[in-house]
Amino acid sequence: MRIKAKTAVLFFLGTFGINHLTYAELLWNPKPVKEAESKIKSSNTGHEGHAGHQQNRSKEKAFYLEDNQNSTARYITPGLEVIPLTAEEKGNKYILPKTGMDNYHALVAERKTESTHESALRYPYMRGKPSGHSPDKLVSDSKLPLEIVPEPMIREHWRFYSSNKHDYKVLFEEKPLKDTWVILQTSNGSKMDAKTDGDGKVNFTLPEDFQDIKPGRRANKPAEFILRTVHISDGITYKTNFSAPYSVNPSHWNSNLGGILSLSVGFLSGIVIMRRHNNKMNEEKKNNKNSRRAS
Amino acid sequence: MSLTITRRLVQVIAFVVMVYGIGLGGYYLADKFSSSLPALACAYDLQTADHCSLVSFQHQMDHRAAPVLSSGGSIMEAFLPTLITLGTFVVLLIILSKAFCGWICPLGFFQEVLSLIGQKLGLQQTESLSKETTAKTRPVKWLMMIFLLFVFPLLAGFGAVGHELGDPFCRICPSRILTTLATGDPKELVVDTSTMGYFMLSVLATFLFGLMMSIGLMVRQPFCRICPMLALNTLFKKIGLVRLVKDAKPRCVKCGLCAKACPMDIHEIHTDMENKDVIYPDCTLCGRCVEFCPDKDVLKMKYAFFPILSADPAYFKKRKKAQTQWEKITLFGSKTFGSKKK
Repeated sequence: MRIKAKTAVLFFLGTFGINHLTYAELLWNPKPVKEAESKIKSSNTGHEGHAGHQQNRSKEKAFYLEDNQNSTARYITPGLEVIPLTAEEKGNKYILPKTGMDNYHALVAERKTESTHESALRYPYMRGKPSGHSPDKLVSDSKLPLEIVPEPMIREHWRFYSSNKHDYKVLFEEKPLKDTWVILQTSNGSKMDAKTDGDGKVNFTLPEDFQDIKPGRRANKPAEFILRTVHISDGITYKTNFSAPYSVNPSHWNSNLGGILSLSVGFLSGIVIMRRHNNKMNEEKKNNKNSRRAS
Repeated sequence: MSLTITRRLVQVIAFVVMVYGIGLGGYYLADKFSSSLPALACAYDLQTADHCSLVSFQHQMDHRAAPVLSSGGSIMEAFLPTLITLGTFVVLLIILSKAFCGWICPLGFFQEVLSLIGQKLGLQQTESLSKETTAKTRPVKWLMMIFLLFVFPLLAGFGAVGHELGDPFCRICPSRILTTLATGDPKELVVDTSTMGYFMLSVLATFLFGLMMSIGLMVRQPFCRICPMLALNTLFKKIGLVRLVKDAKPRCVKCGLCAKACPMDIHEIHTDMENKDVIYPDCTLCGRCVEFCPDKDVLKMKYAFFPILSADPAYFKKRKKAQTQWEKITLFGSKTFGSKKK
């Protein structure tokens, strides 16, 4: 039974050819397909995160919706205001309107036929004034019939990193979907799958699949990961994906051992300083006592 | 209940909220609460309910002020976010004044805990640092504030110095290591080998943390003495609602118990016979001076016009007795680990 279910999911996902990141599938991409394919070695995908301090903030932000024929797209603000999005003429580029709000916004795309419902979801981080809303509000708000919800969405000043474990919840019509296969694929070529538990939860450790890692976060461009799942209900096949950037884990150039060593040297230095200080103080007290006795 | 016990309870609650806040109020309690608390509640701690305004000031210099100024923008445009952060900071300072340091700051509380541990281990405690030592350390906090919070981040934004100096204070702040470690996350207790700049800063940070820990076992509040937050709080001390007032009596000249009780070694609180307002730049409004003043109403702690605590002989006797009994309790007796004989 288990094998059957997994085979079914893989069959559907296979039908839509997910062997390639940018295959014909409703999917939000931070770069046009050709650039995304040449990827990842040269792309700056994932720079929509808070990390984009060095970006030109006045520059417009755009995403590309792959295979966007007959689809609808919308943009949701942290306050849950829905803004319909339209692609640039003869293209799949969607320029995100400026909301003036800081924090995560949601990019949602859907395509419906009689027998299928496809969707894609992404949370770009936008700069602006404090929104006054918790990102939890946006992330936990139901946006799609079948939805992969990050639990929680990574926080400001943080990123998805390779080797880090993250939890997700699969919801169908706002209810947890148990025993459902979820497939993770990265633009670096890794693929893995896992099944949701009784609460619809699943976790993945992002693969350590970056090549030619250089020391320093800025020296390594982020890659993309995509989570996909499929569910069939009342004769309709629901397919959804959630995509986000992930970065090289800083443990490649950060040494805990070095930190402990340096801390220990500091600690011992403090003891030496205080020992000398206390000896000096004790000596002074002794001298004062002696001089008082003498006088 | 003594003021110190009340303060300890507040510190414990503040520590839990500041360090583990998301467990109490959700992942983004900070959004609801404030985004620039005048205390070292570290933004690097992913479970914090709030974050310290110092990270905001540095980022605003590096990522906002410098780019706007270098592209020909107006000063107002460049510094508007800084003014907004400063506005929040000032509002919170009006409410609690410098008591943020003595009552809320997680790093301040940690150093008090270190001091308690040192005392319980029977380590020789330095009751007061000499006037010379305190005079030497006092300017450091101002230099830290000017250079680490504003000058270097601004220069980094202009590209005059490396990006490593974009947030130099956070890079060396012990609260970054403390609060992340407190959540079981060792990611900040590292030596960063990505660039020479980050390497130097990370070595300095971890070394400083170790140094603070060992000195903190024997000297009260070692890092607070050089903390730029103390300097920043001092700039706005006049507008805070918490007040510390002194009505000097001739006996004050000979007494000096208030100065001995002060964890920041503010000798002036004893020697100053003229000023009524005795919130000195190094004061953290912990209130120990009031507790240990034996003369009626010489020292008073007030919230606006309402008295919180006034010096009182009866309170002093009770407090002194409790302190003596507390200090007698050590884990290994009074002679171990080089402790002095009581």
